Amino acid sequence: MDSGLLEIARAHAPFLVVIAPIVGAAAIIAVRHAGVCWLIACLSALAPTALAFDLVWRLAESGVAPLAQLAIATRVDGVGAAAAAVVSLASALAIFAAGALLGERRGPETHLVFALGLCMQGGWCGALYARDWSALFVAAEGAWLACVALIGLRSEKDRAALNGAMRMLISGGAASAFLLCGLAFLMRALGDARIEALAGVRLAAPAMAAAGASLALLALAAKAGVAPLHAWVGAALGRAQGNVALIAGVAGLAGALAVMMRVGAYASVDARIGPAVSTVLALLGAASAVIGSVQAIGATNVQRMAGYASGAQAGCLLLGVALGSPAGFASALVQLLAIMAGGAALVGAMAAGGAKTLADLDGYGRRAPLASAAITAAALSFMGAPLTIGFLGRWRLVEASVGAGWWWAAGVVIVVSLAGVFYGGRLIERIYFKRVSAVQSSEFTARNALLAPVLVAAIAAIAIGVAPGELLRLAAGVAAIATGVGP
Amino acid sequence: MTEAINVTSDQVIACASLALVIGGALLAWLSGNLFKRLAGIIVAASGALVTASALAAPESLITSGAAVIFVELVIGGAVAVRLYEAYGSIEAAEVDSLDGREDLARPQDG
Repeated sequence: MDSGLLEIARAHAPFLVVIAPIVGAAAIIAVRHAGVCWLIACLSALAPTALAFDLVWRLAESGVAPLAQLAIATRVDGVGAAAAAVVSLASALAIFAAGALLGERRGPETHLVFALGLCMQGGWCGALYARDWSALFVAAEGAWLACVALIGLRSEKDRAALNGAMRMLISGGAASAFLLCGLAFLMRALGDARIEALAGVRLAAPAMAAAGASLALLALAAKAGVAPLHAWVGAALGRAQGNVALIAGVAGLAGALAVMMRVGAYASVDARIGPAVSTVLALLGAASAVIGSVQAIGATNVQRMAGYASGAQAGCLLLGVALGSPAGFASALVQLLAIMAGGAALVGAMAAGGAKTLADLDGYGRRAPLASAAITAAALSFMGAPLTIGFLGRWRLVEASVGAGWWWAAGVVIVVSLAGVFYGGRLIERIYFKRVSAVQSSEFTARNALLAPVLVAAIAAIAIGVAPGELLRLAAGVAAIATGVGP
Repeated sequence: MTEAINVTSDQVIACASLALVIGGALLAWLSGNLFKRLAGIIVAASGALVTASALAAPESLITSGAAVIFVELVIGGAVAVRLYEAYGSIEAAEVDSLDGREDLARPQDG
């Protein structure tokens, strides 16, 4: 009986990965009791994550996954499925960590944090499994608006979060208009509303399709915090509450980046529009890598630093997608996991000790040794130090780009790593080589509930770097069917 | 001949509405008043909807676009009102400068 149910769940995996978090969010709004809501949120986030990883595993093993046909049509491809698993994992970790809110003075809106986090997870996964462009648009916008509401919601401790939410809404709102235009151009050029048509239709107007895909990618870049379209990142993440920054800043940005990866993968492999789209992605990637790195070096607010550093890593990811090859897609998937693990470990470990600025980290190693270890792992991963997942992603990118003759991309990777040494090194210096002041020591309060998911992310950042075989095999397997098989 | 004229008029409408999108986006990014910024979003989104209609986009995309704009406005309006309550102003420069002062008051907050 149980195995029968499990098989039904596996056959409906894409549908359940999207719908389970949304149903969980609805249940949370009905229940309202914070403790029960957190339990529902954890279940609604973790169960789809397991299903999403199982689907990736099956795809990587056999190249196909037998799935049930539903009226709500989904499209399973290698990049979308793998990215959905990573985004679900990021969201599940962040929602689990948000359990720390239960120990604090709770506002009437605490349960809404969980509900919005789940809506965001369901939305991004919906965009990653969407079969047509309209569904992708609705799902991505729903997830984005949940992110904005989340940032604005927890503003009672710091009113600047409201300003961040407003900037996010303005940038994202303008980007939504461009996304709508881009998708309309694409559908007109394709003469088909399905995403897969991009890989198989004889284009009547390749220039219009290329313009549409580029507009859509630029709009998604504005939502993913990719420089120079990331005007909202500093304001929204810098003063947001730690738990909220973890959900919106780590899972939210990973979701937007993942959708960008999926659209980029379909567009960049097409022989007619691929070169134009690859150029846009490569320019955007190089700009984001350099600008994000420079801003991260200058930041002294660590949440902002994490946002800018993610932008720099996102640049590397986009370079991998721009290559339009299975090796490039595989490196981008590893990079996505690296951004998620590094961001979750850094932002979560800061929140665990109520720290926000570099000055708050003085003597952190003595006050919060486990959180400090997590920050160190994140910093090493951002630097691209060997035996970390950050190194793995960049190494694969260098291999793929040199193989394609893109030597300059290897230079960009080196710039990102050198910048990482600066800002990551400052984090480690503050933690272990600066003395804590008496005021800092007396004000310190640990939020141990946050530590479990943070340590999972930190351990993953190191463990995958030490033993990368299985991840690389999975990434290569799904990248080979990047725009691959449908149900 | 008639078909050619129709295609051309569609293209003209699409280009004009795309200009509306760009104008709205510029208003949203450059205006100093938060409500004007929201108005810029409305202009840009309306332009996007007209563009989509002119390009014969599916009804599902246009309907969902309209729904998204509505939700954006609801959330934007709510955030703008809360901003006014918190800062006593809806001028972006004033709000940013108050935030900047608070940032400076914190040790090494950048």
